Amino acid sequence: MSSRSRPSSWSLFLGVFISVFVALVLTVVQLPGWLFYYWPDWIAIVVAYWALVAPKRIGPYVGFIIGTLLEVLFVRKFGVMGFGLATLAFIVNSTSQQLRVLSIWQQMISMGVFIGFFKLLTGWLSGMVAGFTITAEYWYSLLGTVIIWPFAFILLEELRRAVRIR
Amino acid sequence: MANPFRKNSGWTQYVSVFIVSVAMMLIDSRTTWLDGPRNILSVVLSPIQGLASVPATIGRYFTSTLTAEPDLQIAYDNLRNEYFKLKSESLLLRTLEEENQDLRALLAASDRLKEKITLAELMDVNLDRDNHRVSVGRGIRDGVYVGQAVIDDQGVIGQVTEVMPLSSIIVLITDPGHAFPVQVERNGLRTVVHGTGSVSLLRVPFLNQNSDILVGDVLISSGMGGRFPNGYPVAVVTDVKVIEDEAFIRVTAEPIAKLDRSNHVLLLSRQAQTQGEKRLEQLISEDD
Repeated sequence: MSSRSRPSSWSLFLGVFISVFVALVLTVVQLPGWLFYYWPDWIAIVVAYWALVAPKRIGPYVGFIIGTLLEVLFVRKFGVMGFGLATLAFIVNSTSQQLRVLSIWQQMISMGVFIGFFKLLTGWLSGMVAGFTITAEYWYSLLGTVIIWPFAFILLEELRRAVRIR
Repeated sequence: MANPFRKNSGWTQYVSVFIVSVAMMLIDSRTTWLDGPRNILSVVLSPIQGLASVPATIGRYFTSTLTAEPDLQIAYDNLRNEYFKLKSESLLLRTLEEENQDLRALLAASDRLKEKITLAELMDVNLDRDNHRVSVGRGIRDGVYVGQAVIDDQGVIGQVTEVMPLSSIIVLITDPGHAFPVQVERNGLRTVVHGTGSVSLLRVPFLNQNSDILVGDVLISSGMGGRFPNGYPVAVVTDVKVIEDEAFIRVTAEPIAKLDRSNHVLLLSRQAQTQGEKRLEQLISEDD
């Protein structure tokens, strides 16, 4: 097994890198007004996906690193996003066995719950750290996230096949 | 930190991330120690911001190349007319300014501070949908500093809150955490405006029942607090509601600046010092 794990680890890194980069670009892209609040949380989707398909290797550490990158890009207070994404990765890690046998629609609902918890946690923490207040609009993106999940999942599966991660 | 891609041992990782995050939150919300690392990382990550603006740039390229010639001619004529109008007005202003300076000299009052203006372009990014902030492509390199006032061609937009090497962050006056000292242009009544989180609504709190404020009044920056030069238009009062039992009246206003539409903003910096300030600085440097 050890002979296979080495190249696989590199291709996993490549897959995560590509998808996170695309998600970051999608996060900061300029949007028309009607879509603005419903735009999904792409980073959360990507982290949840990799934590689901590679629970042994993509865990809280990776979530924390990606979250810190996001904080730099958005000029937010350090620590909030990193901890939020680490929590998301941890929850998905520990339920990945059950999540993988669900149909894609059931998966969609559970992801809605997990990412909703992630948003609640980060919103609450940035309220303490940076004086942020959770508004009704804050939750609209959850709808977009849940709707986009099946499509994002299929696309990311394609990516995973392309870079040959088992 | 060990290789993050090795086999993870769930709880250990999570607990260590928890400790590091809490430490970072505490340090970053109370000190400025993490600003250095943030600045370095922001330069490393600037290609992502550039890449994100590609779709918008392509869209603009197509609209600009596909605009018909008659439309361009009309736009050109409009701009020409505008230019001549502004030119004649600025001639008038020059003489007025000189006159004003002479009068001030007669009164032995200090010179009005002159502001240096830097033009900055908004970067094509929605920085963050949860806060009313925008980023502009000017940073430490261009002499931007925290607290600098930002306006557009109509009125006040906000102020600079974070400066990075190549870009800086502007908090808009409509941000829920932002308040701004203003006065009523008509009678000089001083107050503040608060952002609400909606791009077309500001609140004017703490005005008594007998305050002289009317719908349609223009609120201009008052220069209180020393951050913002005075006299720039900020907002127009849209609603004044008096409720009998409340100590204060409910006043709402609408920003004058095109907060969500302008592509270019102006950064004002205090340039000319008054004689007194120059003298004071000399004295201070002599002491050292």
